[in-house]
Amino acid sequence: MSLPGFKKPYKGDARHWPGLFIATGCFFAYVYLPIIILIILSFNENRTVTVWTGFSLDWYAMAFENRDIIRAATNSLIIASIASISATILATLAATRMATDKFKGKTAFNAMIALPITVPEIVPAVATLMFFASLGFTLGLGTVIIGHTIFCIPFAYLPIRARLEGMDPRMAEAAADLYANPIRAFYRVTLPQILPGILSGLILAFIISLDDFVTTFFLGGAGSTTLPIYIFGLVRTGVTPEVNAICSLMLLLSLVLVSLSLFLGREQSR
Amino acid sequence: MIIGDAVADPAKSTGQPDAIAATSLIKVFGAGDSAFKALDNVSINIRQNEFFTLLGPSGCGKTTLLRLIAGFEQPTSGTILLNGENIIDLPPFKRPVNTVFQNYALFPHMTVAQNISFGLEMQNRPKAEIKTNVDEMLSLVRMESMAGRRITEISGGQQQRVALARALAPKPKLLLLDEPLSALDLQLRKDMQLELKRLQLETGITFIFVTHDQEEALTMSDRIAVMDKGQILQVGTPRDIYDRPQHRFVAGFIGEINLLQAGPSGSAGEPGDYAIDQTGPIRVQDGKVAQQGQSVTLAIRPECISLSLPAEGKLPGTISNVVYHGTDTIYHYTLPNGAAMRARCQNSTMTTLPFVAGDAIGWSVDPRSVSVLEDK
Amino acid sequence: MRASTRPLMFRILLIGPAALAICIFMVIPLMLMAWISIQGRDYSGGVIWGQFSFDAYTRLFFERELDGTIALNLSYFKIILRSIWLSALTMTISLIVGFPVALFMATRSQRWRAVLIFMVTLPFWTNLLVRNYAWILLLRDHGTINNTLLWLGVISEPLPLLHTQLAVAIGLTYSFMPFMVLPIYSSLEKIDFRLVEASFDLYASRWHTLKRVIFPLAVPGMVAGCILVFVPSLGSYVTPELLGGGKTLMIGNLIGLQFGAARNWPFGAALGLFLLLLVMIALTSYARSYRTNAQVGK
Repeated sequence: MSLPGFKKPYKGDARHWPGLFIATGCFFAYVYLPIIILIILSFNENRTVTVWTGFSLDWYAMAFENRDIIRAATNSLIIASIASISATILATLAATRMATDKFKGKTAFNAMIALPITVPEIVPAVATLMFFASLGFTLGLGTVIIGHTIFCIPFAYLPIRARLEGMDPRMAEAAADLYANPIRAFYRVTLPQILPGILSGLILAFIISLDDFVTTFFLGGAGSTTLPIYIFGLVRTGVTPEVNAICSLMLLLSLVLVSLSLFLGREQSR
Repeated sequence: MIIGDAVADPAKSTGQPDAIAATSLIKVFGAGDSAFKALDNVSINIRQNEFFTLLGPSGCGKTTLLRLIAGFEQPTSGTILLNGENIIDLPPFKRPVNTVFQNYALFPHMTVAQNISFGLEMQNRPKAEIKTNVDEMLSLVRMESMAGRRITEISGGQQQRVALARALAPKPKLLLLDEPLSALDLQLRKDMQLELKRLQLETGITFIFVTHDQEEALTMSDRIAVMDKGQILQVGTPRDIYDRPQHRFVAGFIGEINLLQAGPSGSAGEPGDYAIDQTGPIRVQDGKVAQQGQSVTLAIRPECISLSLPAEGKLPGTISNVVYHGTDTIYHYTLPNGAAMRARCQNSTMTTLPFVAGDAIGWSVDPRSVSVLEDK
Repeated sequence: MRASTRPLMFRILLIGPAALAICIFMVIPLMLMAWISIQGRDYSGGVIWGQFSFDAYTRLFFERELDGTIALNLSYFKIILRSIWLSALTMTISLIVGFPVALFMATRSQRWRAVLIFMVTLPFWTNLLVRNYAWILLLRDHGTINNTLLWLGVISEPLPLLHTQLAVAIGLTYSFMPFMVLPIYSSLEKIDFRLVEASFDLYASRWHTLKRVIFPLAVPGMVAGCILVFVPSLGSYVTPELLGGGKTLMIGNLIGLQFGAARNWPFGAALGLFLLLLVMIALTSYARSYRTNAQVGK
């Protein structure tokens, strides 16, 4: 296997276009260099943040000792777990019918379920804020979890529905033909086949919730500070090496989770 | 609807009810302008232990009929009796009928053995019984060594066997096969045809087999129903269907055939005597009493025609083309009235016919080999 | 039909919960927002229910002076124009940068395509805030870029990079680039490269082949990519907040302000509605062009 683009170019090759390799290289440098620099600087022992003086893990140690950070991380995990699980349950239930049934209003429902990803997040965030405030709800963990659940639904729903639609419709018929009633057919035949899709959807929803800033910012109150909110506060007041360390950790967590999810997605499509 | 019960049949009547007795089945998909009548008043009786084939082009309604019997679809009207019991209100998971699907529909997340045991588990059979049953099925389809394999790890032919074993394991009263051989290559298909026939004889289960492949239907079936446009046109043994087609469609769908217009013969009063315009008289003996004075379509298989030099008592024709086919040669010739005909002569016989295009010939046909078609 | 009642019950039971959740916490709040935009403003935050007022809409262009006179004030409108301009700029940069990347991906072997898709998608799933923060480190007065340039002697004073429109455009492009690359890739990927060979065979140069064969076939992907970049850019909040500072506000930040320091819910609601409208226009024009494309393709 040779590197892409490093094959000896032949002028008439329809798959070789001059300059594309360099353009793509620059693109990936643009995408990954800032992240890499951030991670490198998080190991810098110097306080000035952007000048490299030597290797140090001090900032990580400081981050782990900071009680505010621990509290924010705990909040993030609580919110992301509850929101992603509830969203996945709702999405799975809906997807099982949406993938197979034909009925009036199906397009409308599909558009509605996709609303949270079509509309810029700030709009539903402030709309829901006004909604909760008008009803007299106290903003806090509860309201944040509700907000997150709603925008997590499409992220969980789309991969599950895709998986269900990709399933041979005769699977369900074969199960029925072999004496499985609809409920047993679902548990024994449909569910095992879409389980990787569900897990992948669950993880994506979890990442999206974990990373969210806007909805949390507007629907949150005292005691619902999450990591992104905490980082935002720090970044606005000034750049500290501690922030580099937390940011690197968050990057790492997202990378691990998304790789896991994509791996599950790949497994199922085999 | 005509159901050809008149002809003798290998499956003997035992006094048992028919495996399937369907009456006046109508199935309409959609509604209004887009409504499509997939089955148009179909009635059919399928006997116990029969290998019964539904044959027809795609869209003729054969798969719909199968799906109605399996219970995946509800008929718009009509009844289906299974061994004398009405099953129309039973969902598929309560019908003692199993299906081998066109693309097998094997559960990809289960092993071979798990697929086979699925139906038995769903029937809540005891564990030990399931075990012996699965082993029995594995050996029946010669897949013992593959029991623990995943579905994705076995070949198409092996998947086919697993699909059969899975459907046979619950010992259904009726096995439905929806074009199960269409995904296999030619050689494998030939092997599986014999295999299916063997399984049917060994298990004694009634098979209903759906196919669009006439050759497959002729080799495997006890009886065949030929379908077109949602209707059953003719039911009979392979011989009946091939030798005595009753409809223009049946004649044309199965094998090659010559169709000839013939009118009433001028003088002779015998029923079965017809005359071909500008050509001569032809006699037909197909058991039916033809109505006098009516114009009919005659069907003659190319291999039933014998060619010779022009002679007294032979009908005239002129060779237009000779096509060599290895085992046999096809002679294309035209009649004085312009009708095009084909005759097939085996090459193995030493008497090779020396005709070339433009030669005048004489031809004849045994009166028993001519069928009178019902015009539809 | 006999069996039709049971599927209906299943459908309501299974689809119902998700539909209800989105209805209550998404659709109703959006309708409430429309209602609040024409209510009177309560200066302590919130609204005076039942008091109708179109102040929120007139405020986009006019300002009520302390003495009660009304004067033209386009500062809010400028923010809206800036948002549209920055989003359009982001979209254009993404298109110019994204197309070669997508074409490169489409010409690779199956195996490399999977790797490249993974590499393009990966940053999208990392924290938006963190990704923008990384750019603060680069763009600051004593950030990586300025330090490098100073060290090289190209400049003697740090360039003011952070808190500029440029910084916001860079940040937005950085955030939403995958949305441009992936749709273009998916339409390029479908191209049978024998078409390109046919074009070469018919004496077309690379440039003409690109213009006459590849571009037309990639149009649906480019249109989809433009919408997918434009819409989230228009509504972005975090990027202008972090990289634009206080000077480079976009609509999202203006909306946010009305629920914080400014305490003007009706105005915030009206702006939210306006943003929603812009997005809907973008999406329907996309749907229309998609339909036209589909017709051309027939």
